[in-house]
Order: sequence, then structure tokens, then C-alpha cells
Amino acid sequence: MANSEESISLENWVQAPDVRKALRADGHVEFVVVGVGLSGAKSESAMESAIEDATGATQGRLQDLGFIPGAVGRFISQAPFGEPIYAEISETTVALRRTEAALVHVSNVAVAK
Amino acid sequence: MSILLVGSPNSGKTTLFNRLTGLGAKTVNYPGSTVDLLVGRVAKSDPVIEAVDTPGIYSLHPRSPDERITERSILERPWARIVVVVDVTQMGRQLAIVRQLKQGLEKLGVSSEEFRDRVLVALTMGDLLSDGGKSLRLESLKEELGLRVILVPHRDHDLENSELWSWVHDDKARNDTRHDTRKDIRWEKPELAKAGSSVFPPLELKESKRLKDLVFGFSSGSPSEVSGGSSDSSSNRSREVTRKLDRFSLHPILGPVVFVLVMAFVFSMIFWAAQPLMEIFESAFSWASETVLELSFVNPDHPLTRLFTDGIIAGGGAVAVFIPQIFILFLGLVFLEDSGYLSRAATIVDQPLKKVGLGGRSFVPLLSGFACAVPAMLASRAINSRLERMTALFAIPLMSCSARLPVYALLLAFLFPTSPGIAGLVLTALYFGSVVSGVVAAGVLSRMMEKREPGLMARSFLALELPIYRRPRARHVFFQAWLRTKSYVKRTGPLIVLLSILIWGGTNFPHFYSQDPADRLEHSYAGRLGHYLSPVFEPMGGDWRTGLGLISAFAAREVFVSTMAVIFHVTDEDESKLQAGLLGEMREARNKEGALLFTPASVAGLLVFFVIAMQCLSTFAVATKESGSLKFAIGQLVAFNLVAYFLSVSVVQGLRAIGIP
Repeated sequence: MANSEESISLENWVQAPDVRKALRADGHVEFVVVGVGLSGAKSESAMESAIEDATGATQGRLQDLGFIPGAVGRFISQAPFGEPIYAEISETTVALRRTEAALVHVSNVAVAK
Repeated sequence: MSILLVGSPNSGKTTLFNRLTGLGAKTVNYPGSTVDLLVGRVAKSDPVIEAVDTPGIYSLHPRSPDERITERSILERPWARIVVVVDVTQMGRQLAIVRQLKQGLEKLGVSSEEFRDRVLVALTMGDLLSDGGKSLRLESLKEELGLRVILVPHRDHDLENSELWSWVHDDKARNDTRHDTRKDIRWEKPELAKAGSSVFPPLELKESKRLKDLVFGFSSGSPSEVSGGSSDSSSNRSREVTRKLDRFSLHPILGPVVFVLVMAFVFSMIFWAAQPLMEIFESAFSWASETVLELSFVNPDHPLTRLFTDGIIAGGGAVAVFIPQIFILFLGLVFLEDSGYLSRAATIVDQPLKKVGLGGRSFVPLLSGFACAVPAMLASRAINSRLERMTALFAIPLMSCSARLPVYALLLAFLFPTSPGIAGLVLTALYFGSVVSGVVAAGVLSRMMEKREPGLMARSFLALELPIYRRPRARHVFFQAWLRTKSYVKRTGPLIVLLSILIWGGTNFPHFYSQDPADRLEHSYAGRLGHYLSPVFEPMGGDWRTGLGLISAFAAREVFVSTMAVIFHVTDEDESKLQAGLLGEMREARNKEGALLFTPASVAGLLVFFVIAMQCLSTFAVATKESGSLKFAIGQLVAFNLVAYFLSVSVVQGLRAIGIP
């Protein structure tokens, strides 16, 4: 399992050039969830997320939806203006805001497939 | 004895409920709250077995008012058995609820034997598996869970003779007297049940995945475990269809196009398809009151007769004419919901709505607001963020509901008698204006709330599950739309009839026996109130008659039209003739200074007033209940009506200043 240094937030990952390229070619890109939470996330919106996690509701919700370490998901598309992000995880399609995607850490190696 | 149905949203819980109960379900309020539980008698049960459909949950750790009700139903309401409904194609996630339930009940002192006797797992959507579920290893799942697990028969087959049916109806198979599962469960530690959410442990998804692999016959650690379902042979067919459709519906550019087309279709149905039905309702009610008046033993001039025909029948009719529209709205919503599109539509508008404290989850409530604010406010219960829910409740009355339509029609016909095309364009602009005003109001309220409680805005979330696409089931769609319509009528009907009676009394007394209806109205209690308040309406370009119309519109906005008709002596059963006659009278009407009462400026002012004002006591009552705060509802009522008034005055005075009378 990748440690937090090799991981990247889902929010940033979907913007990576090689991810966009793979998305255009195949219609979807797979990723592996490393964890859910604030650690390792470096985006601006993770700071916003810090406020909201007073209740832990978002984190818990993401876990309920199936974002747990080791789960493999598929990034499908984004709505206009980049939000929400659509992905498949544990047998379902979900829509995430960027602040929510910022909490999901995915392994950076998944693109090479 | 009652049986609770518990499960995730879209797990097929409500469908199973309908199959168990037939068509006799009713909604009941959970004590102390306003959220509905669906309760129905299980078909052919004697003594009566009650089935309770609880709101869908992702976890027994509730995150919305709806979800909290499910938790409380388990902990506080008496029940004898529970059916956990699990979508077989989403077992990897949904089975986790079973374990959560078991561990929670253990804490309350329920033994594993009793748990086994009282809880059953029903797997649904077996028809979505390529082999219909024949190869599922249910035995191993039963062993692992220590529970009965059954596959619900396909929806075309009868439930009778199924294992589920016999379990629900009785438990004769077990001759165990240690705990009678027909009697309600009793906690060993009732004080824990009262403590609430601490009873159920967090959701364990890993375990749930392992169970799923077991059922499908994968050894643990095989590729399927890490592939998150993407290579499951099981749900392939339906998932592939969904993926194909989502290439369009979730596409960054095509997605919004699909959205606009679908919404345009639903809207045009609300307005065009409902029209003939509304006319039928209208003529039925006027026929009813005429028939009563013609009965030989009835004195048509007696106050009680009039109360019955003009108060009760006319008031009931005012509610009833909107039933077709509301039914069609629900029909459209349930259809989109059942097909799986509605959640997708909600995500597409999430980003713009987020900026004003709303979000994807507020989409359906706001949309329903165009038919009627009352069901719209009830729909806002599914919103789990408090900020978002309050903001939605605040903005809903600004969506131009169907009761405003007759008023718009009358006033636009006055302004543009010869050019219906322009009238149509202005009508579109009025709807657009109502959306803009809603957005502004939401922005203002959410910023006020954020100021008082910083961080509230960031705490709203989307994280929405998008169900797979399915062919909507006609029976289910009609039944659900019917249920929701019925619940709406029950909730608002009595209040509207009561208010109509009050307004009837106010406009007819104390000079009930006066021969001149206009005189009767002018000197009635409501007429006096109109006179008393006329200085207020003068800046709007109105006089006591306008005031009276606006006051009576509080029963239902379209009452404005009938009040105008009474004031100007226009009586005609045919509606189009009534409008023409009324418009003629309105063009002639003069105020006490002898100037024309209805001018382009004053009518434009009235239109603006109707767009913004919250003139609906039913909405006020529901807003009080749903927001849980009288202050909120009063604030809303005062704010909208003041803004409407000042906007209307500035429009009238502004138009006059540039030379439009």
C-alpha cells in the first residue's frame, strides 16, 4: 500500500495532465484509494475542508460511500466548471464536490495502466 | 405487530413495501417530528401485521433528519421484526448495515438467537444479475451472518408462496417460546436506546466486501476485491447500460444540454398537460354549487347555503383545481427518480446553487416550488445540511407557484390585450425574475446564517450516490405520485377550506342581506379593512379595492381574480367571458379622485408584487412547522411582503416619472 507521500488528493489527481489524457482516450481512468482524511492533502480546499470536519460528517459520508483504503475507483467525468467530479466506487457512481474530493487520497501510480 | 423495512436509498425497499402491502398504505408522522413513515397493512394478514417503510439510510449513523428517523424507529418505536433490504448488486456496501444493526442490538441486550429470529435479510434486484441470482451462494451468507437470507422473487412473480411471504405472515416453523417474535421486542437496557446514535458502531465496509465476494464465489484477495466492482460479472449488464447513458448525461457539455431538455419537458407537462384536467375540476365544482342552489328544499339566500356553496365548495375548489398540476409534477419527479436521472440532474445544478448556500439536494424542493410551495417545503426534508435546508425553505415561496398563474394571466391580458406573444414573453420574464429573486434571497439568508455561525457554509455537502439507470415501472410511478398528491391534499386541504370560510365571512358580513353585492363587499369587515389600509395601497397606484383583492389573496393567490370579479359585479360562469367582462370593468374603474384605477404602471406594480410577495397562509403554516421556528416564518412573511411592496411602489412611481401613467 502506498504511503501518504506517494498519494495525492483526488481533487488534484483528476487535474493531472496524464489523467486527462487517459480520460480522453478511454472514457475513464482507474484510481486506488489510499485513505480518507486531511493528512497528506495539500490543496487550498483542504483548508476549507478542515473547518467542515468539525463534525466529521463529510469524512464519514465518504467512507459510507465506499472510499476505503484499497478500493479501486473509476474517474468518469466532471460537470461544467470542474464540479462535481463523477467517479465509480464500490459498485456505485457518486458525485463529489471538490472539497469532498480533496479529502480522498489516491495512489499516484494508478495512471500507468 | 409491526415489521420494519430498513435499507439504503434505492435498495428497492419501497417497492418491496408496496408488494407486501398492496395499495393500501398511508403516511404517518413520526411522533415529535414531521418526517413521514410509510405504514401499511401487510396483505392477507390476520391478525393485522403492519409494515413500516423507513427512510433510506447509508449507515445507522444518521446524517440527515430523514436518516435519524430510521434510527429512532428502530430504537424507540415498538416493532416485532426487521427486514433489512439489500440491493444484490450493491451488497459490498449495503450488507454492512446488517452487522451494524446486530452489534447495536447486542448492546441493548438482544441475544444472537433472538436476532436470528427477528431479523431477515431480503436481497432485491436479483433480476439485474446475468443469471437472475441462481448462482448466488446464499447458504454461506446465511452461515456468516447467522441470519435468514432470501432472494426476493422477480417483480413479475407473485410474492405469495415465497419464503419471505411465509416469514412475514407467521413463524409457525419455529416452535420456540423463549421469545415470541409476534410480540414487540423489548430492550434489556432501555436507557441505552434513549441515548441515540452511540448505540450503533461505525460502518465496516471491508467485512461487507468480504461477504459479497463469498456470495458471488470469489475467493478473498482475488482481483474482484480490489476492482471495486468494475469487473464483477454480476452487475455487468445494468452497469454497462448505465455507463453508456452516463457518457451523455454526465458529459461536461452534453450533460447540461440533456438537463435543460428534460426540465423543459417536465415544465411544459405541468402547464400544458394539466390544463384540460384543471378545467374539468373547475367545472365540476361550479356544477356542484349550482346543483346545491337549485335543490328545492334549499333557500339559496340563506347564509348557511351561501357558506356551503361560496365558502366550502368554492374554497375546496380552489385547492382542487391545482391537484392535476401537482399530480403531474409528482408524476414527473417520481418518473425521473425511478429512472435514476433525478440525482444526476441534481448534481448538474449543484455548483451554481452552492454559491448561495443551496446545493444539489435543494434542486427537487426548488423545482416543486413552481407547482406549490407546500409540497416543496415537505420535500426539503431530504436535505441533510441545516444551512442548506433553511436556505431552501426561505427561497421556496419565491418560486412562482401555479396559484400565481391565473393572476398573471389576468394582469397580462390587461396590459397586452392584442398581443398574446408579448404577454407570453413577459410571463417568461416573470418566471425568470422569480428565479433571480430566489437566488438573491438564498444568498442573503445563507450569508446571514454564516455570519452568525461561521463554518456553516462549508459544512454542507453533496457526496451524492447516483443510482443505476432502470426502466421506470408505470405502476410504481403512478402509485407514488398518487400517494404524494394525497398526502399534500390532506395536509393543505383543511387549512385552505378553513381560510376560505373566514374570507367568505369577512367579505360577506355584516351586511349579508344587502341587495347590492358590491355594497355588501364594500361595507364588509374585509372591505372596511381595505378602506382602512387604502393609504398603504395608494403609492402602488391602488385604492381600497386593490387592497381588498390583495388581502383576500392570502387564502390562495388566485382568489384575487374572483374578488375583483365580485367587486366589479362581473358574474359569468364561463371563465373566458368572465375575464373579458372583468377586463372591461377594470379599464373603466376610477378611484375617488376620478383618475383611472388600473393603468399600465399600477398593473405592472401589481405583477411585481405578486412575483415577490408571500401571500399564502398555508405556506406560512408549513414554513413554521418545517423550519421549527415561528420567528423564521414571520421573518420570511414580513421580509418578502415588504420587499414586494417597496419594489412595487418603485416600479409604479418610476414608470410614472418617465411618463407612463
